[in-house]
Amino acid sequence: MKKIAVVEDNPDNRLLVRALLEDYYEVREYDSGAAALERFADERPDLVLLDISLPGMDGTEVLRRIRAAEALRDLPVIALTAHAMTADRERFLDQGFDEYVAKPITDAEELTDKIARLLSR
Amino acid sequence: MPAAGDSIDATTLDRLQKMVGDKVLREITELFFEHTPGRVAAVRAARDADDLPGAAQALHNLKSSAGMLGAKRLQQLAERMEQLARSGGDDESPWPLVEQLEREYEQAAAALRRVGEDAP
Repeated sequence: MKKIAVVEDNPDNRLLVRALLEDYYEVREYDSGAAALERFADERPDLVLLDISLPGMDGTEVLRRIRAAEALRDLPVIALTAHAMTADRERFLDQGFDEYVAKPITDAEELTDKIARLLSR
Repeated sequence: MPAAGDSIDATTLDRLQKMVGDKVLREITELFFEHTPGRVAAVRAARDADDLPGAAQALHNLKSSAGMLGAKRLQQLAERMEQLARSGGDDESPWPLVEQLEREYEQAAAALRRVGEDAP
């Protein structure tokens, strides 16, 4: 089973994502960017769902560090964000995210399709 | 499911229930009850300390949790207050809205409790 890392400080969002994905993937949860970065080298997720508005180190900074780390830089990363503007998608892709999913998640298939597409790259 | 009153958007709640089922919906609702009062209290404490960034973070999470469960009015108010907090409160301060936030939370919580009682 492929491993999905969910980096999100809101426990209800983590619970929702776990409920949507755990039949298909091994889901690991991290409540901060620092906790995630500390464990990624050992735990080797296959894909990351990364909240943008994390307290402390925000998602954009976490992404920067993933892309700067040799062992992690090719990891597919999906931005999870409450900024619901379509124009935002381009902005996140420009920043180096591989995909973008708006919160609250209301379409399970949209999420699973985007994950499947990135994992089959 | 659901009969929620106007604090809760039934369509959002229904869609969530269809996505995750009754058990997870109940767990998400429990998390809302567990965490939201602390966030509302954090916003009030941030007002007392005039801590706009602190308020913005609590409001952001509050907005997200409320949105997931269809607590539209609470979500929209938290979003507006978050924007005011992030813009530094120069044009308009989020602080006069704290009491309204507390009221909206109480109403959303009461509506969600009613939904819970009606659920199987």
